[in-house]
Amino acid sequence: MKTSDILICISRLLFPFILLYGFYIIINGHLTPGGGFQGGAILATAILISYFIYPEKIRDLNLLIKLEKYVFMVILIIASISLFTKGEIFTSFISIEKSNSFKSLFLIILNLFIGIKVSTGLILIFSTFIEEGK
Amino acid sequence: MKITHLLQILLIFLSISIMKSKDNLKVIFFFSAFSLVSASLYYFLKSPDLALAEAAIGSAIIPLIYIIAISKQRQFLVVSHVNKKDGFLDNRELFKGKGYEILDNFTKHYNLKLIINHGKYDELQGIFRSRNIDLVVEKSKESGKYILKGKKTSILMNKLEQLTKNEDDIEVIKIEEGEMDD
Repeated sequence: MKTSDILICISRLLFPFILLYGFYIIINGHLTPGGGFQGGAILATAILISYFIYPEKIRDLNLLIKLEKYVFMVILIIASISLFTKGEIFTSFISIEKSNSFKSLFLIILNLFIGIKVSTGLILIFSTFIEEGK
Repeated sequence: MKITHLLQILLIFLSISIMKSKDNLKVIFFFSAFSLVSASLYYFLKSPDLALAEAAIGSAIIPLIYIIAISKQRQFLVVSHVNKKDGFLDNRELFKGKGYEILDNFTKHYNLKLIINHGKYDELQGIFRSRNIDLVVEKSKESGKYILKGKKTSILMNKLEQLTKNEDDIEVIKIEEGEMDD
């Protein structure tokens, strides 16, 4: 696929800002609209734009598949830490007497990992689609 | 009249134009605009959460996937099991193989891009591997004929069969969907 120079130039300019916006939506997910899924989708779009800039960059698909699976395991482990602190699975592991800003740490961590998982999944779908039959 | 009414009317017009238009690329652009308008409509109807997801997925990722699907549609992928010294599918400046000329004319007639893989089938990337090949070229050991294998459901195979009717050493075999997996 031939891409024009204007598109490549604008993509180079926009790429860091889209990444920043995606991380902002993930990290502020518990306060403002958005969250892990939406921010992950935006991160995936940012990395798809980098396909126009450097078409040969994403080569190692197996690494991405492994990363997605490990992140899934990490999400399950974080969700089940509360079994040891509260004796109940799938709730926050921070005790209820702590301050609000400290309690939101649980949501931030979960949103971050969900964002990574969603973005790697979308990149995988997209890059298998590009590589297929090449 | 509020702005949401305007957006709803625009949405109706966009969906009608998606259904009516024949050009594939135009349909994708209309689809992208549809997602953008519906994302802004979600925002005005007080669900910004959905608007973010719709804007990111509906108007960026899905059109890109569709555009790549269209560019894949214009390729004609051939996997060759014929020995490379045979020269049937050769493409050099002075000497062009007979099979290559036939396939080249055939794909030029239908505006497709011809891609030939010389038995490097295992190196192909992707999960849908077994379904994407249009044609497999083999040489039978008994009769010495070249065998072109393709899917039965493809309309292009009927045309190829008609085209190679007069050639003695070429045989076209049509296979049911899903059987072509090597």
